[in-house]
Amino acid sequence: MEPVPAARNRPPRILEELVTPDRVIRTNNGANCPRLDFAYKVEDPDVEDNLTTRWYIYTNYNPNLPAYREGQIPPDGKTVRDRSVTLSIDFAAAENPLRLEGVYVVEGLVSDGTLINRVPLPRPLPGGDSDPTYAVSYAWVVIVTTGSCPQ
Amino acid sequence: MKLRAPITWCLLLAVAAAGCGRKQAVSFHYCTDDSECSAGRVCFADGCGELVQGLRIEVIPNAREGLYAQDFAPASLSAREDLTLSGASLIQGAFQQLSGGQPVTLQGPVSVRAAGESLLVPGRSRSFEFTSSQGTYSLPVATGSYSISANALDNVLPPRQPRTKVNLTPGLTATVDFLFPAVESLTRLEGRLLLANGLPITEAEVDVQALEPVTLRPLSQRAHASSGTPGATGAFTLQIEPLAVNVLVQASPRSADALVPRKEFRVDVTGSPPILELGDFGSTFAISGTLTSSDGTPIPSATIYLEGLANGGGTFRTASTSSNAAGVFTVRTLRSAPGSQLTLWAIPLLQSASGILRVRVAVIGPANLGFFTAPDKILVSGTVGRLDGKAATGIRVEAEPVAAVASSLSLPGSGAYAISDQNGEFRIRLDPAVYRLDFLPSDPQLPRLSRFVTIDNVEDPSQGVQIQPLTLSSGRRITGTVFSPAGPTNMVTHASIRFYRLSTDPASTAAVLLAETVTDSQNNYSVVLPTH
Repeated sequence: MEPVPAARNRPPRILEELVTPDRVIRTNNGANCPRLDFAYKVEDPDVEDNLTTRWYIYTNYNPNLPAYREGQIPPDGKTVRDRSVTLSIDFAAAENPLRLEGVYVVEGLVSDGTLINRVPLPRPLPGGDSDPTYAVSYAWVVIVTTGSCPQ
Repeated sequence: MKLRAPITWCLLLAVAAAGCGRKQAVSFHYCTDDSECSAGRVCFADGCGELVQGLRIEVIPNAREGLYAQDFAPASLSAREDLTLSGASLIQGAFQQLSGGQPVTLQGPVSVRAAGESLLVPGRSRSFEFTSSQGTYSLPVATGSYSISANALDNVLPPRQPRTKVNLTPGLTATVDFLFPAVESLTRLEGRLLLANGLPITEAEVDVQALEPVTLRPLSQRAHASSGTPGATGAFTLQIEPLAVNVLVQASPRSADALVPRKEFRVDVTGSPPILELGDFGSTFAISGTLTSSDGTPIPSATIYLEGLANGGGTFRTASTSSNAAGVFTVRTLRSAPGSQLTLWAIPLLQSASGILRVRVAVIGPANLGFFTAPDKILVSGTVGRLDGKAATGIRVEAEPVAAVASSLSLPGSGAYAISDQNGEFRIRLDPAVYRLDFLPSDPQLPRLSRFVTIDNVEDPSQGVQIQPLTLSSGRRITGTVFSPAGPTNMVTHASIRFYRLSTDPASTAAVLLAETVTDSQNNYSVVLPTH
C-alpha cells in the first residue's frame, strides 16, 4: 500500500477586492500633500505559514532591486489574515522614494517561502524531496508631479 | 582602612559608571497602561477613556466592485455589533463647455478626480479617479469629504476644481457638473522661458503651468516651453482661466532626471508678453564624499541627495544615489546660489544604527567634500508584560513617525519595528521624532495597543532611552454580521473591518487603529478590543 502523500504547499493570494487605493494614483510631491497609504489583505489556505511581505518602488523594473520595506504576517489561525500589509509614504518625510517627478511602480509582494531576491525557494522535505513555495504581487502606478497640493 | 578605601572607591566608580550609563527614562504622552485609569476606562494612545467614546468603524465591502469604504460611529457598543451597509456612494455629473453662451456637451476624454479623507476617521485619506469620453461620469467613492477636479485630456481647457468640497455619507449620490469655459474666452498668455541673458534652455525640456497664487489651484494645463533642443526658443503659450489677472507661472523640468531648477514667477496676464528667466544655474557636475557612522565605520547603501537654491533663484533636488561598501557616494548636482548652501541628506537603511544626516554644504564646483558623520540612532528599550505578570513575548512593536521634533526637523520614514524577546523586552533604534508605537500581540485573544512617545533631547544617545514598562490590556471580543445593501449577499464576503479611535493628541490627530479583521464566508466578523 502506498503511503499517503504529504500535503503540498498551497500559494497565498492577494485579495484584490480589498486592495486600496485604486491601481493608478496621481499626486503632487509637495510636503503638504496627503500621505499615500497602500494596503492589501492576504489569504493563504495553509494557516500555519509565516508570510514574508516586501514592498518595491521603482521606475524601471529590476529583478535584483532590494526591497524598500520588508515585514512578516505571522499565522493567526485564519486563511484570510486579519493583519493588513501596509505601506505609508509621507511627502513631508526626508526619506520619500516618490519625492521626484515621474511615473513609479509601487509593488507589494507576499511569499510563503524564503526569498532570494524575488524568487521563493522550495522547502526541503524528508526523503530529499522538496515542496515549492510561492510569491504573488500587486502593483500600483503612481504618477508624481512637481508641486504643492492645492490648499 | 587600607582595605576599605579601594572598596569604597570601587563602589563610587561603579555607581558613577552606572549613573553615566543609565538609560534616560521616557514616558508615553499620556497613560502607560490601564492601571492608571479608573474602572471601565482604558488607556488609549491619547489617554484614559471609555471604549465607545471616539470609536469609529470602517468597512470596505468590495473595492473591486466599486463598493468602497463606509464609516460608522456607534453610539454604544455591545458584544454583538451588526453593521448594515448602504449602497455605493457616487459622485456623478456632466462635462459641459460654453459655446455661443450656451452649455453643450464637452467632447473628448475628461479625467475626474476625487481626493479627500474620511469624514469620520481622520487621517484616512482617500482618492478616486475615472476617465470618461461620454460627456458624463459616475464615480464610485468611499464615504468622505472630497475636493473634486476635472481635467480635459486632449485640449487646452484649464482644469476645473470647485472650491466647495463634496461630503458623501453612505449610499449618497452627489452631483457635480463641470462647466468648462469656451476656448475663445480663455486668456492667452504667450511668453518666453529663458536662462539669463536671453539664452534658451537646451539641456532639458521644461514645462510651465499657471497657478492661483494663494491656493495653488491650477489655472491652466501644463504646457511645454520650447526647450531641450539646440533650436529651442523658450516660447510658450498658456491658455488661462477667464478673469484671472495675477497668476503664478511655475516652470519645472519634464523629467526628474533633468537637473533644471524649478522656479515660480508672478505674472500679470494683462501686461506685455513676459520673459521669464530661470537664471544662469550652470551645468551639472559631480561631487563626492564618504559617509561614516560615529565610530568611523563606512555606511553602505545609504540614500544620498542634495537640494537647495540654484543660481538664478530656482530650487532643485538631485536624483538619489547610494553610498557604496566604503561609504563613498557621488551625486550629480548644480552649484549652490551665491551666499547660500545646499542641504545634503544622507539616509541610512532602516536597520542601520546610524540615523538621518542633514547637513548644509557649500557646493561651487566638482569636489570631494570629505567625510560626513551620520548621527547614531537612539536606542529605545522597553518591556511589555501581560496582565498575569508574565513577560509578553513575540509582541511586534512598530514605530510610526507622526511629527518632527525641533532638534531634527526631519520626519523619518516609517517601517521600523522590533519583536519582544522571552523577557518581554524590545529594542528599536529610532531617529528623533514623535512616534506612535503600536504593540501587536501574536495571541489573537489580546488587543493591539498604541502609545505616543517623543524621542528627542537624549542626554547620552549611546545609552539610549528606556520607556516605562507597559502591560497589555485585556481583550473584549466583539462579533457581528455585515449586512450588504440590496443586491447579492456575497458582495461582503471578505469585507475589511477596521476599528479606530479618534486621537486628541496635537502631535497626531489621525485616528488610531484598534483592531482589524475580514468577514468570513457567512459575512461574520470577530475582533478583540481593549477593555478594563
